[in-house]
Amino acid sequence: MRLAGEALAGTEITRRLVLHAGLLAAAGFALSGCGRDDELHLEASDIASYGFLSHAQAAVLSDVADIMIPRTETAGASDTRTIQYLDQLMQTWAGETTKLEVDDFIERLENRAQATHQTAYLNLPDDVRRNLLQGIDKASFAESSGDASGTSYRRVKWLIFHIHYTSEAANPDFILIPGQYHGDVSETEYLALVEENRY
Amino acid sequence: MSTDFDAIVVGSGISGGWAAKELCEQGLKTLVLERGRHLDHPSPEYTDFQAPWDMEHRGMVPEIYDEQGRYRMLKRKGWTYRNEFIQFFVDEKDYPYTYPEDRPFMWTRGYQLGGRSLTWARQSYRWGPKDFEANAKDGHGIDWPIRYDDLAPWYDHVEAFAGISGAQNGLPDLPDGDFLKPWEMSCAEDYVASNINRSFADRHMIIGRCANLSEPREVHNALGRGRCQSRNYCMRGCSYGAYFSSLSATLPAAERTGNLTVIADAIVSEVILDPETQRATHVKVIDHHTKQERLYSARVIFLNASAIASTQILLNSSSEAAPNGLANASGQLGNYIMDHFGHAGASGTVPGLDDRYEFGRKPTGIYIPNYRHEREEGQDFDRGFGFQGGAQRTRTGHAGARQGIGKAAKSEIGEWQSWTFGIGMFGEMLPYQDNSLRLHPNKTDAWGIPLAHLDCHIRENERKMIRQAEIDAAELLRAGGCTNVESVRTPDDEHVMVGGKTHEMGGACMGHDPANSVLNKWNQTHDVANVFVTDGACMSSCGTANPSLTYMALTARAARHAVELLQEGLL
Repeated sequence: MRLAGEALAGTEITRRLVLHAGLLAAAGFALSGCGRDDELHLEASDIASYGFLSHAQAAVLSDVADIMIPRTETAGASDTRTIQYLDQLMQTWAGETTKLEVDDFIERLENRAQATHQTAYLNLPDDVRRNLLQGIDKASFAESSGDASGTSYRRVKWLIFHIHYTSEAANPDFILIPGQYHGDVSETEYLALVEENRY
Repeated sequence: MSTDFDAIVVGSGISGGWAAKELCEQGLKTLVLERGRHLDHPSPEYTDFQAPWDMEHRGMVPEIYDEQGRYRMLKRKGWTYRNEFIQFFVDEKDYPYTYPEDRPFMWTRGYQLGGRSLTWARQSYRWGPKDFEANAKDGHGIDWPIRYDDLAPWYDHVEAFAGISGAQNGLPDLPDGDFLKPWEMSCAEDYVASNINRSFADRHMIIGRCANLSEPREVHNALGRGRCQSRNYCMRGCSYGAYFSSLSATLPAAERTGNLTVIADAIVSEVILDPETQRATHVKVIDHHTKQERLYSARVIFLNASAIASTQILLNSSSEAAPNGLANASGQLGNYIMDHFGHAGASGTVPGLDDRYEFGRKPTGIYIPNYRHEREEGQDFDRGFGFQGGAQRTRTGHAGARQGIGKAAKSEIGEWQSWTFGIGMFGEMLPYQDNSLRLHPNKTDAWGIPLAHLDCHIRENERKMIRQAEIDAAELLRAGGCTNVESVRTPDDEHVMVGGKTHEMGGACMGHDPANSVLNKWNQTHDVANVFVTDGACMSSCGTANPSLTYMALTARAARHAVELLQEGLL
């Protein structure tokens, strides 16, 4: 499936554009009241390439990943194409339990948005979505948490972080071949060695 | 292709590679049979040039393996369960073995040319005089028919070729050798080692001796082996050939003689005995793919399939003349299975070095050799233990497994932490006659070979060691100047799985007396003079130091002896 025709291929699109492309409408999401201008930084070809996630699920997870790992002075989850890679993992690596947990997390997130705000998750304002996820995060890692929603959240969160932090953009100082070992260097010396041997 | 050779070597791992090299260099037309697939060196299966983002599944083992019940033991092992080198390990679902339900045994294998020499930890220590005297001294097991001095020149021989980095420490119980430049300790390791070495007369922390080329010599360069690049990705395979393996070193050395033939996918099921001459004449092979049987003949046969597999082959080589298995007149074949054991250790923080860093990833840590050979006052067990470990300085990892999201959580990632230090014990398991390997009476593998059945467990002597090692580990780190020291050990009522250290030994032990041992002082079976066993199966005790260097030395020594016997017309 191509996003809004071939004309969009290769162009950077915003979440709003995704929404208006009708991909989420098909899943029953309301389109009004978004009020956001944050960008997904997706290529249209990326959107078209999801194989496990529905486009609606991909949009939700992309938003979740960006809230978890926003772009700051360093790359964010969208920059590292985390959800596209997660979608690939679901097709090539994940077992049935993980696949169910991904689905379960998204469903529970939507249900929670509906129950507390009477609208779809993506329709919520930025601060509300962030607060919603912060609350889920806190509850999921609370010592007494043993509920299923915490389980699926923790699994999805771990995957998102693992994918992002094993990406090239998130590892600017990675050195594949140090070529030498020094067991006692100052910070200045260390940084100079990193600079000399950067991947 | 000819099926007749001067020598056959079964297995191509650490000891098989050495047997091949020595026999070929002495002019014997030698066939190496490897049950696993062929691998080149460097191999397309090596993953040592992959950055984290290049790795398939970002380094995660496919979850389908869990669903299919595959690689269960490798997963229990933990640190080896990585997608980037899982291809070098065997799935017991495809290659089963059995054990009593309440006493699982961990048999970690690698079925490819080079065997486990691709994935070994490369720690290379000479055993000391006390290690070879221990059985005679305390009466456990069978007295070794050799002593350190018998093996010392062969340690020299194998160290020079393999390339072992290490310091000359001058410790009587851990002899020095012909070492390459030692790896530098990190500042934290140096700090802790200095404190420990000042605090104890008998406990020494040294840099680990490992088979990574810190400074290649001509003998290494001649085989295309290069200097270690401080990547510490050894288990992925090393395209530089910087750590010693059969693929990088011994097999190429054997090949350049023109005397080597290697056949992969060749599963040796048995050694065939001529009852009239009491000599082995053939090795029976089952093709991995076609399951067709073939015979290869030779004047001398070296079994180097691993402690378990070599013993299994001998047990499966029963005949009218040898009803309990080949070379089993003593009835001791399959007994005295051993392994090192851990299950106790400690960790702590190294203070005062937060402004110091390390660059590169050295391929070894530290070593504290066994200091408990003697029963000191208050020591209620025989033998002893050493420790291995090291210091590391890490950064805060990502928050994927803990609370925190958003900019705040992101900003915490990558912060340098203080140096931490960890050590874990390597205990000497006593040789127990009834820790055994037998052929399963009715279960066979896909090639019709009876499964190995392993019934082994640790006893009270080992439990006492674990308890003492926990105390010692904490004491050592505190003496080393560490703070926040925490110790751990496995509870007394929890099963300690033999095989967990991948140092299986015994099964065809060496000894003076044919009535109670399988091999003589030359690793030659007492019963069948042209069959030698020089892998872990031959070990009469297991010491505390990693055994591979000793396998190498024993193999080179036995190979030279076999050649001399052939030249004298005695085989």
